[in-house]
Amino acid sequence: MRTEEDDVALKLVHTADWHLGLRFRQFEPEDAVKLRRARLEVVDRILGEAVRYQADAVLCAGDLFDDRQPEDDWWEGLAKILSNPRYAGRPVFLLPGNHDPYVAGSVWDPAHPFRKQLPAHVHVVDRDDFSFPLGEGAVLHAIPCRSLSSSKDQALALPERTPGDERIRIGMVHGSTFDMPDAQTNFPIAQDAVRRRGFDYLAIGDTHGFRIVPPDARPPTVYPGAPEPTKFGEDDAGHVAVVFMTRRRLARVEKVPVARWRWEAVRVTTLDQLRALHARDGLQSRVLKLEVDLVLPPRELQEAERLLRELKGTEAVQGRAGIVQLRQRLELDATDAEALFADLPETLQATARRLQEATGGTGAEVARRALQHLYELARATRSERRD
Amino acid sequence: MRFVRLVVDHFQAIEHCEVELAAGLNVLYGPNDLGKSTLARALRAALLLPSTSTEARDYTPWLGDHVPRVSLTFLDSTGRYHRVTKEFGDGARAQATLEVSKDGKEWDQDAAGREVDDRLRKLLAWGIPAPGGKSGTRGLPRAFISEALLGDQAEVQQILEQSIEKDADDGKLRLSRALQGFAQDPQVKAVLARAQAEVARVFTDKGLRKRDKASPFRDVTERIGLLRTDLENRAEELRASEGAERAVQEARERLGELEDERHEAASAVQKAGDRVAKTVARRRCQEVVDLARRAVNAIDALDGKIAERTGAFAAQEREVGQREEALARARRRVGEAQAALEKAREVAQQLAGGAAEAERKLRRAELEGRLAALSQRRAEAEDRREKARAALELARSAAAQEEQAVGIRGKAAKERERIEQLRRELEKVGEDRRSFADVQAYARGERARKSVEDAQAAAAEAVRLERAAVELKAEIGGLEADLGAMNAPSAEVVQRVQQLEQELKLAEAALGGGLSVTVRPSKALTIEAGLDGRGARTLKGDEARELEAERSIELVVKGVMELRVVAGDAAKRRRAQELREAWGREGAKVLAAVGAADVAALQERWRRADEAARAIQAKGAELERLEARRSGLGPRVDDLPRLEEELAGLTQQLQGRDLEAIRGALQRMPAGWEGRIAPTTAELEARQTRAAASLATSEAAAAQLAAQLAGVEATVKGLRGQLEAQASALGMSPEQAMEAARGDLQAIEGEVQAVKEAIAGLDRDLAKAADAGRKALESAQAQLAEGNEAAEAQERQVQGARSARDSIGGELKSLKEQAAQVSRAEAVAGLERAQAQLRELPVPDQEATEQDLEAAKAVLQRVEAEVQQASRDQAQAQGAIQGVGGAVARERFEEVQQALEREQEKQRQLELDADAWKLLRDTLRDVETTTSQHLGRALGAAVGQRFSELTGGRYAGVDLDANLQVGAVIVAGAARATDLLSEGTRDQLATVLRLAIAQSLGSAVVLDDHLVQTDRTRFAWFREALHHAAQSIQVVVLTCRPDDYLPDAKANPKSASMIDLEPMMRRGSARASGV
Repeated sequence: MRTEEDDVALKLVHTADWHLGLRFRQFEPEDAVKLRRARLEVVDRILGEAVRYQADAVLCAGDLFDDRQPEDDWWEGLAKILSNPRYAGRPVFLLPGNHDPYVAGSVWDPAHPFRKQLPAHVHVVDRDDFSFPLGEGAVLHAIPCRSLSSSKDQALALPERTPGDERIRIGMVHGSTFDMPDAQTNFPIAQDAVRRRGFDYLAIGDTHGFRIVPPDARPPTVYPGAPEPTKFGEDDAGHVAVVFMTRRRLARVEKVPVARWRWEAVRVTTLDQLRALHARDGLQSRVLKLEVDLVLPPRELQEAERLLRELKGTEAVQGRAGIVQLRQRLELDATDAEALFADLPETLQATARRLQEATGGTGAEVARRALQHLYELARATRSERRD
Repeated sequence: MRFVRLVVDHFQAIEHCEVELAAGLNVLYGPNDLGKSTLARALRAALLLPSTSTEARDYTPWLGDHVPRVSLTFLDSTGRYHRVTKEFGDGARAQATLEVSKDGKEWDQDAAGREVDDRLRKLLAWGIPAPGGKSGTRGLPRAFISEALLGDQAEVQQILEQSIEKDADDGKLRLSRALQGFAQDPQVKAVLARAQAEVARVFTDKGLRKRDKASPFRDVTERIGLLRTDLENRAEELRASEGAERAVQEARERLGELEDERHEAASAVQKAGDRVAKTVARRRCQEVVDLARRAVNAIDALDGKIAERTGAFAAQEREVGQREEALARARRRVGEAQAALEKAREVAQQLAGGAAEAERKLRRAELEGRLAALSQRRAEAEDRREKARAALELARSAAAQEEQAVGIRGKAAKERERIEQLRRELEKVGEDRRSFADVQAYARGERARKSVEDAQAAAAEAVRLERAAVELKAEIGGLEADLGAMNAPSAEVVQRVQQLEQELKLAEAALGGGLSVTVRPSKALTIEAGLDGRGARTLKGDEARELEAERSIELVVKGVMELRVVAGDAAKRRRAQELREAWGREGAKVLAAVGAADVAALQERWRRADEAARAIQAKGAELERLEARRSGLGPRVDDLPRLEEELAGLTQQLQGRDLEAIRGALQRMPAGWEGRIAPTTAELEARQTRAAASLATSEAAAAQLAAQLAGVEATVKGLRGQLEAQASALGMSPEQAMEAARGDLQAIEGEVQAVKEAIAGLDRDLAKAADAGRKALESAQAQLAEGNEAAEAQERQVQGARSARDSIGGELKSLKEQAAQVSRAEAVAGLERAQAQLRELPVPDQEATEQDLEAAKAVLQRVEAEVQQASRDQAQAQGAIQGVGGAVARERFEEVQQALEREQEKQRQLELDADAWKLLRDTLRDVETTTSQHLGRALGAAVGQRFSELTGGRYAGVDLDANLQVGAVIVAGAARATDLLSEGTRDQLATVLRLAIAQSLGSAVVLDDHLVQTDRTRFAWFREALHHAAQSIQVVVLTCRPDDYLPDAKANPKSASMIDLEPMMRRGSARASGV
């Protein structure tokens, strides 16, 4: 009995939205560097998947750079990966998207050194009538984006299937299907464009989460999503689509994870939650957006500070979590200031009392922070005295 | 404050004395009456008494007329030297100067004369009001602090009763501030120092946030500024993008609405056109029906007329027969009458007989014969007349038919004319359409040419921008290379190094406090001396030297010893050492790594790197703007081939055309014509269609008229044939024949009348001849006449009936010939066809006129113009959307916004932290101030504790009020008034208090034989206390018992300066000679 696998006529790896050079300005510079590097490293893994699956081609459906003129590091790094002899012999198609449109002077410009460094098996979609035979029984049609924004449907601009053409037809464009917000001005793509133009698979890019539009559609229109997330809240990012086309021109799509980082937003309002987060496994691969809102008595406050320090790391010590974007309100619970400062000199006790009184006024936050400073200083100077 | 040198001349018993005073304990000793107290008095006078004061008279030298003179050199807390010199005398002899110096060698005058004391009192801030004025005191002022520090020997206990309450504010304030530090708990001090350091790091002395390079706010503020600028740019891009998106959406919606409107308007035009076409078609068809009906009716009328004429002809035939029969009867009666007349004549002849009679008879017979011939001629003339009348009637019928033919020809000519007109109209519309198409093509061509020129200009601009971008990139590359070459550290690293250096300076400054080492080598030595870590200097020889430093003194005698004296307590030293080590680990390493000589150089390096980075960022932004502009030009440049192709196509289309004429036509086109191309084209098409339809209708009508004309002309031809035949038969024209017949008849009638009159004459002759026969003859003649008349009448009637019959017959023939020319069946068939066509034509749901159609077309035209405008708007909006950021702009805006929020949160935390440190410091200070304002509370503990130690715990404490007035001592838990104490104990308490005040102020104190009534045990305690105090302040003791202070001084020679006054002092009195 023949299986579908036996019947596979074409295998493709479909990816998009690498956003090489994305700056991550909302992160600390050292964290931004990690995230930026990860975007280049994932390309290596994607091409590795293509080798592993023995794919016939790799389709890269736009927004491969975050800007049409990326810094040299990014295009040089990409050219270096693409030139790895391990990946030679398998055509790779690079499509300009709306972030990196094909315009004069862009990285896609034939005069750009990036183009000159690309090996022969890498093809840039730089014509509106771009087509490329994928063996004898299949063909790829693609159109590049030429501006940041447009209301033109690129998919409907692809050529129709001509009568008698029985080849597997693959389309590749970059844009938003009409169910997406602001699709009408972001290279809109009709949901039925794949059928109307007689394609067997429409490879698209733009949305950063993996999606088949509409779900279970045949023939399918597929967003593979960004292989590394670009921000918090991007559901189902971090994959590529591996596509198996049968001789009967039916597509089967596998979602294959490739991301180094997983992004997660966590809010902590109790010390137990913080302890549980600290104890979790696999934090090294997490980008945590950690919002801490804790008001704790002295001993617990010290513990919370320690846990956060260990999670985030210091200049000398690697943190338990990969990257932490911390927003914290970690304050001393000084409701019982009398007891808290009982063993201090009278002047400091009186100071603590006054600050405690001020926490009920308009400058409460400043007063609480001042109390915290006083507590920490008293603790430090007491230990100095003991020394 | 520390006294350095005192020089006294001519002051009471002292002629001259010069004393150098060291830091720490100075024991000035000498025997009683040597002048120690005078020396102390001179010192007080130098500092406190104006040179012009009358009290100075007491200072008059005991010998000679000299002016008392005192010169005192002292160091203030900032390390500056002051030298006050006063000469106490009357008037101009009184002199005072105050000098200032940084090194005690080079002096500058600070004040002179009266200003000296004002300046001094401000400098000392001891609570002594300025000299003169209401609050100024006369004589030697006695403020609490001056009494505590320089109290007179005779008034040693005065301090116990004195209060600071009435002193000037500066004294109280100074003491209050001094006591804060004096009474501070070390932990409080540490907390305050740390809080102060944090505040100083962030705030200026005026309490404003620092903005300089070292400020922690600087970087974040700058980053926020940059991000805000960036965000504004992004927001601008986003607004442009959203505006373009809205424009696209609105244009799309507007176009949709207008398309609906156009559809409705087109539908209305179609309906109106349909109604008008139906109405016009029916009207025209109705005209054809009417025309056909008139033709059938004409044929029916012709047939009716033929039938009527046939009936009339038959009746006339019958009438002719009847008339001929009547004529025959009348002629028979004439024959009978003639026979009767013959008989009568015979009778008459018989009666008249003779030749005349016979002649008459012959004559009469001749006349009658002529009469009969005339009758015959008259009948013939009447026949000719009737024939002429019939011919005339025929001619009239022919003329009537010809007239009808003329009418039809006229109509046909008009129809032909209309056809020609319509053909010309059709040609003109065709020409208009071609011209209009040419004008459109020409206008499109002109536009395309302009677009091509625009696109070419855009391409040139893109090339220029490209070059500019390349240059900018090169500049950025150069700047980045410079930046890389700078090897500049990050702002955080620079800040860290600065902070380390600051903390190190603070820590080392905290070690300060003043060190003084006196080196007295017992033999000549070479000593390497290092002060405060600065480079060593070499001391050679065996001279005694005094070395002073703030934090450390190192003395090295090579091969013998190394001595290091360090100021500050252990914790501060450790802290300073830690920071030095930290500096070595981090700060120095950073400086070495970047090759900076010091922190300032490091900052400068960072500043230059920062400037380079900003320049790169600014140029990067400019580059982005250039790229955006160039990207904006992209679609126009990309469109160039298409535009050129379009232009070529339009040029090809117009090839061979008269372009000048087309240009002229274009110039004559009304404004806004391009907005009405579609309606104009539709209107031309409608005109062409209408003209073609009208032409077809007119051609059909012309054919109809031609057929009708042919029928009428055939009728005319038939009638004319008959007429010609009749005219031929008549031998002349009918009119002439009629005229001739009438003339003949008239002549015949005349002849008949003449013949009759001749006959009547004959008859009258006959009557005369025959009487009997005349009557018979007359009767016969009458009968014959009657018979003739009747016969003639009958004859005329026969002729009339025949003429009428012939006329009817001619008419009938003509009608029949007409009828033969046309076919009723065909006419009826034509009518039926026309009626069938009319029936088949659709009936409009409502009548519509051309005006209705024109109104509907006007609406459609307006809507189409709006649709075209909306289409252009949409195309423009869709074109514009390609020049904006769209989703990319939105994402970049959000990215910058998040980065800005992060920096703002950082800034908020920094501000919160800074405000918190400030609040903590201010609150601490406030609490301390509140505490220290009660001076007694601040000082009481220290004084009480020392007094308790001094008295072996007998007195547990001292009660000092808020103004430092001693209220009581605590004995066994109860307060006891000080006046109950012994003199000695009161002396001791006063000394403890004075020492405490001097220590709190960090000032020198002069004790003049203060403990004369103190036992040995307590004196020993005092000696220790003085030595301890001398570690931080200068203590000047004037005593006649130097041994009381010597034991420890001998054990540790550096612990006190023992100064024997005796050899230094020249006395001016007689007693001096005894010394």
